[in-house]
This record gives sequence, C-alpha cells and structure tokens, in this order.
Amino acid sequence: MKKFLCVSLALLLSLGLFAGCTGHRAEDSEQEDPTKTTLRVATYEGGVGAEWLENAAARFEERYADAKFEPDDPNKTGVNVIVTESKRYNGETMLDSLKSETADVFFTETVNYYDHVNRGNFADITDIVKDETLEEFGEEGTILSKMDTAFADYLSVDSKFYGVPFYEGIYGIMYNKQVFLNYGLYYVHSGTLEGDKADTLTFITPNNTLGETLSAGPNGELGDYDDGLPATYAQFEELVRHIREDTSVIPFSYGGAVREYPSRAMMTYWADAEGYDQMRLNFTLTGKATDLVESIGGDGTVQTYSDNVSPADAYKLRKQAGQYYALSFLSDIVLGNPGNYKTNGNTHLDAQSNFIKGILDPNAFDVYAMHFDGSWWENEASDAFASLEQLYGDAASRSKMQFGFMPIPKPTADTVGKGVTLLSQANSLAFIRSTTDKLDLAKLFLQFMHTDAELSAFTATTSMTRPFTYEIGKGDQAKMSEYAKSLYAIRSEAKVIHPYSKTELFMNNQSFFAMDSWSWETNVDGKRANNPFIAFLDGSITSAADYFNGLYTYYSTNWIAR
Amino acid sequence: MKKSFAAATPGKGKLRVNRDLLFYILLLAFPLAQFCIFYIGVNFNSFLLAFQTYNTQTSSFVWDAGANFSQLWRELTSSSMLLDMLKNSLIAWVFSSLLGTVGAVFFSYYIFKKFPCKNVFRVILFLPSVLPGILLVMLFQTFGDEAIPAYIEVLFGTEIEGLFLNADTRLIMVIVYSVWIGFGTQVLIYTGSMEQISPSVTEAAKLDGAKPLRELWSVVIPEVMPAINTFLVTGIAQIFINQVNLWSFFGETVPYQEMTLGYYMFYLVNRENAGTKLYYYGYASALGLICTFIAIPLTYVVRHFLGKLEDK
Repeated sequence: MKKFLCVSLALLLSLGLFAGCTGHRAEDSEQEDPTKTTLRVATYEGGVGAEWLENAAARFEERYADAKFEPDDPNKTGVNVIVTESKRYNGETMLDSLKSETADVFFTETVNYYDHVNRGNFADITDIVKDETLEEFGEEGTILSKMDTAFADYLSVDSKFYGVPFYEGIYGIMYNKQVFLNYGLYYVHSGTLEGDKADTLTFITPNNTLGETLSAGPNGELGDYDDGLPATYAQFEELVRHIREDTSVIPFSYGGAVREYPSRAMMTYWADAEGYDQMRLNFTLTGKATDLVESIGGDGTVQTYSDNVSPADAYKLRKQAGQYYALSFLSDIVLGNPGNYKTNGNTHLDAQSNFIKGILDPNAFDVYAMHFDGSWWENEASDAFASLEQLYGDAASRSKMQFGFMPIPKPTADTVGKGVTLLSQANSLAFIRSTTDKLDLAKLFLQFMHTDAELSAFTATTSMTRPFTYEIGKGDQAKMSEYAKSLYAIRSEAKVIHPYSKTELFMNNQSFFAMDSWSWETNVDGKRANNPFIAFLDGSITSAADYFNGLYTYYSTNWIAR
Repeated sequence: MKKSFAAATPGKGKLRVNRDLLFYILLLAFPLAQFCIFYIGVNFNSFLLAFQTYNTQTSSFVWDAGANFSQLWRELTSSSMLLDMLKNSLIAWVFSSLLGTVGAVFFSYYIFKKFPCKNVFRVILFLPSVLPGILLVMLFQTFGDEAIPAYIEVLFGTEIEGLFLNADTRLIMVIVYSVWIGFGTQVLIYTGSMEQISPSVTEAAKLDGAKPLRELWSVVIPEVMPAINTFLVTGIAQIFINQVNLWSFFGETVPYQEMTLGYYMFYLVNRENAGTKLYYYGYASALGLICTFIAIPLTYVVRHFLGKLEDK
C-alpha cells in the first residue's frame, strides 16, 4: 500500500511536467500536401492570434489554386499554406536560430530589426516593398507607399528592405460602453460646442432614458464616435469622481502582473498632448522643442519655453509639457482615491476576463467602467468571450458586447479638437527567412498580405490595426465589433508615431531609446523609479511634479551622449 | 591493482588500460566540456563584456573600458538605487541563509528525533524541491493575494489588499516564500548528517541528563557543523545573485527600491520593450564584476571564521 501511494504521488507530481502543454496543435505537425507547393507561415502566439492568418492563407490558396510554383515538378499545382503559432516565434528568441527554422514567412513581435539584419537572418525584400507595385492584386501603389515614412526610413538599410511593419500596439484605456450607458456615465451636450469644454457638465440619466444629446467629446464634433466622453482632463477627473461616488461601479481595473500597462498607456497620452511633431523629437533628437516646462504652479498650470535640442543635449526633452500632463492625469487617478482602481486579476488574461464579465451579472461580479490595456486586448480575450458566451449566451459574445478604446481627453480646454496623436509600442515585424528555398512564393504571399483587402480583413478579424494606410471594406465593416469600430475611428483621424529614427545616436543606442527606457526613469531626491503607476500606487513618489522634475535629473545625469 | 591485473594477463594489459582510460575520458569529457563552456567560458566572457558596450546599429560589442563603470559610478553617486538593492539583498540573505539555516537545523533535528508528524514535516519541507517552481509561486501568490484577504474578510469583515499587491507586505511575503523553499535541500542534507551521528554519542548525552535542546546544541550541531558551514559559505556568493523569485512573482514590474542585486542584473538583460537585451550585457557584467570583487574576500573571511568556529 505504501509503495502504491509513493508511486501514485510520484506520478501525480510528475504531471507538473506537462503544465506548459496546451491544446494547440503541435508546431509543424500539419502534413504537407504532396500535390501542392508548401509554404510555411509562422506567427507569435499572443494577442494577435492566428485566426486572421489562417483565413488569409485560405484565401491565398484559393487565389492560386491553379498556379504552378514548381515548374520542375508536374505533380504540384497550387499552394498549401501551413500556418503555425508558437511562443518561440519571438524575434528575440529566434535571433540565433531563425536560419534553421522551417517556416518561410514570419509575422512576429519583439524584433530588433538591426540585430537580425546584421546576422543575415532576413531575406532582401526590397523589390516587393519599394519597386514592384501591387498590380497583381489590382492595386497601383507599392507596399512602401502605404507605409509610415519614419518607419520606412528606419527599415531602410542602405536603401534595402528586409522587413515590413506588422501590427500597431497602442496602449490606452478601454471602456465598457454598456456600463457607460447603463450607469449614466456619458456627458450631456451643453448646447454649444464651446460649452462642451467646460470642466463640469451634467451626466445622462442611466440608460439615457431622457434621450439627451451627448456632448462633443475630445474631437469637438457632435454626432461621432467620441460623443459623451470626457473632452478634457478636468472632465475625466469629474467622470472618475462621479463613477466612484455616485455609482456602484469601479472606475478602473488593471492586471496585477502587468502594472507596466498603465504607465505605457500614459505614453500615448503624452504623445497626444505633445502632438506628432514634438513627440517625434524624442526619436529624431534634433529640432525645436516648443513646450518645455519652465515651472509648475501650485494648481498644476505650467509655464513653458522653447529651446533647440540636438543629440548632445536631447535630455532636455524630459521637460516636455506633454509628459507632465500625462503624469498629472495618472496621478489624479491613482493618488486621488484608492477607490478609483482595483486589481481585477493577476494576469492580463484574468484581468480582461473580469473586466468583460462584470456587466453580465452585476450582482455577482464587480463592474468596471475602464481598463488599462493595449489595443489588442479584445482579440487577446477571445477565449474569455467564448467561455462567457457558454455561460451567458449570445449577449456575452464578442460581437454583441460593446467596448471601446477611450478617446484621449485633452489636457486643457483650448486643445480640444486639435487632432489626435497615438504612439505605437509594438516592435513587431513581418519578414522572410533568408534561408528559405521558396523566396519567390514567400514574397508573393507577403505582397498578398499587404493588399488593401487583406489589411482590412486583418482589422475586421483582430480588432487591431496595421501601420499602413488602408480603408476598411464595407463587408469587413459589417464584421467589426463595437470595439474594433471605435479603435478604427480614432486611428483614422490620428497620426501614429512609431518610435524609430535614423539619427546616429538613436541608431547606435536603440535600447537606450526604447520606449520603456527613454521615458519614465526618474530620480527624485536620490530615489529612483521607472514606472509612475507603481510609484504612485506604492506611495514612493507622491506628486506628478516630483516625478516629472526627477526625469530631467536622471536623464541629464545619465545622458548617453556623454 | 591495475598493474597486477595487467601482469596476470600478459598481452591484454595494455588494451585493458587503454579501455579504462577511454572509459575515464568518456566519463569526464561531458562534465568537463560543460564546465569549460558554461562556467569558464561564460564567466570569462562576462569579464570581457564588463569592458565593452553594444552598438545596436552594427550589432557588435565595442571595447570601451570605462563606460559601464562610469555609468555605475554615476548611478551610485546620484541615487540610492544600488544601495537599496544591496540592502534588500542583505535582508534576503539574512533571512534565507542565516535564519533559514537555523530553521532548517531545528526541523532536521525534529525529524531526526522522530518526533510526532515527522514525515508530514519532511514532505511539506521537501515538497518545494520536487514541484515546479512556477507552480509553487502561483499557489503562494494566489494564497497571499486571494485566500488570505478572503479569510480576513470572512472572519473579521475587513477588506484588505492582497499581500503581494500591498507594498508594505510584498517583500515580507517574498522572503517567507524564499525561506520555505530553501528548507528542502538543507533539511535533506542535515538529516542525512544527523543520521551519521553514532547512537552511542547521543545515548551518552541522554545518560548525562541532556535535554533535547542541550543535545542539539552540544552534540548534534557540532557533528553537522561541516554541512552547515558549507551552506553558509556558499550563501555568501548568493547575496549578490539571489533574486528571491521576484521575477517569478512579479515579472519586470518590481520597483527599484524592492529589487535585489541579483534580480536587477537578471532584469537588465531580460525585460521586454527595452530594445535588444545585448545592449545591457556590458553594464550588468560590470555590476557583476564588482559584486564578485566584494564576494570573493567576504567568502574567504566567512570561511576562515567558520573554520575556527568548527575547530572549537
């Protein structure tokens, strides 16, 4: 009996070995079709998922069902695209192993482009990026013509291209539209657009039973996607107070293990407060900074001045007013009242699930109005939606639930309606393995994936955007969730910054200028911090002004050009 | 022995010796190669990296003898960050190594004396050594963040923050966890050493009227002192590399003032969204080199001191 127990216990404990196993199919296990040319496409197993790629692969197979890619082999007609998804398809992980991978085309993240290019990991795709138009697919332009110019400049190595951008990762605040409506959290239109910028407006009645017109929102226009949402920081602060004091809803949620998300979201707010040109200075490191903070008044108002910056002294940019505004926005939430936020799960997936389900059964669960996450969150929460749909029916499906990407409020009333600037922090690329023996087919597939139709399909399937200029087709619009529509609406009127430049100092020290490094490192009277959300949460730094002043102290002392 | 065997089987002796030699070489080749690559090679490379910086445009390390040390000096003189980390590392060492050893000796003695529920203690203390670390971390974190607040709420009607989420209790919880998981190996070694004590010695102590504590202090501890010393001496090197499972618990979201030096070095070369990790290898290596320069003499001093103690 004792022996039996020992063996049983040993077997039980050994089950831990399988803790990492999932229900996904084994990589590369799909059988090749001997009658077709095989193309292997790999993607990272993360928030973007693989559904969009599998759908696209099926369309590509259908399009080229009768084509011959291997003329020497008369038995092969058409193409069989095998899509694999794995955590190991990560740019950093594959740095020294990419050449021996089996996949031909990759769509992945955490890619340090120059590390791979210098190792000869990526195939030269200059011809399909900048030379050949997409006329094979009925389009006139090239892939390059759709690409953000700053991003394209960064990817150009001696006028050659080895990769193209994959997806945009924009951190921000997500909100539950159903909660906003059910609990009366939208602002009512004051009667005039100018009046809608006032610090205090009235809120709609729960479910807007009076049918009131919603305020103009941050873009200052009535009748569009941001109506009723806070236009200014002051309105946002009032909204949070209203949620906390007048409803049973918890204003904010976040995942305990991803406490960097709120701080990264504040980079988006910083970028928006600065505007495209001023925020770009953080990467070009050269130009005239027009809103450096000279002093911060007791009421939080700032006096600014202009100054030229160069790579030798670009640490002066840590006095950018936009960064202070973002810090003050965050400190108002975190330092304002502990009732403003709650960790609703440890992992990002738990937190997403709990954010979703509150409204489905408010008596059983906490209801959250907003959640800190990245633009990919809804797609990442697909499994959570599916589980909840089993419990709560169709109302819990992703297509029926209503979430939104919170339009960014403006620091002051006078900047309402002055455009939107977003910051992508994705570091993701698509590329072809340099050692592939199917280069032409891989290039054709990559071109296909960058047609307007496929870019549109990507957004419709994933509720995410890609850093290219494209319109969403009508068919795809009908498939989009409320969240996808909301994100796309903001994205359509925004300028998106990609954190790259070709400035020599930046190029030689890209890790120093990576967003998690060149952003929140602070030194407040000898006390260091690099995450304002945690610093405010833990009380180690107790004001936005202190944190902000410490940024300049740190970066001026540790400037990389010294 | 070998010689006489060779002499007894003329003509085959040489072959036999060669086969023995071959066996010996094969036996040692793999561990030696591993030692050369993963200890000598890696550490030598780390030593060189301390004097190099990484150029992200060319993806190459370039010699810059003072850059990393200058950066360290600036960090040391402009903020208390590194000193805070050193303080945390020392706190972790005091609890995991010193108090952990004391606890392990007591538990081992308890098991050695076959007091009630000895096997339960043995399983509980050794369990962390056989279960996957990340599984234990998840269990312990759920226990601290969800179970304990739920108990408190049910028992006292008070809502408290999760113990790992609360900045005031986080470090305590991490250290408690580290001490607990550190017991397994020590208890195994100490009980093994205690089993080697001659029953006549403990019997004599008993006849002399020694109570358990006296027996532990005067008989058992001196007998297992070499094993204790080994743990204490190797614990010195742990001061600078012990990350007390912070990465498993919190990933990269640990504030600077709660990091240990071991965690910080790991964090530097593992965090995401900070560009290529190779960029930080030089700085982390320089920090590691300085820690080594502190740890080497300290290890010798502690070993000398403990040796004297053992001789008494």
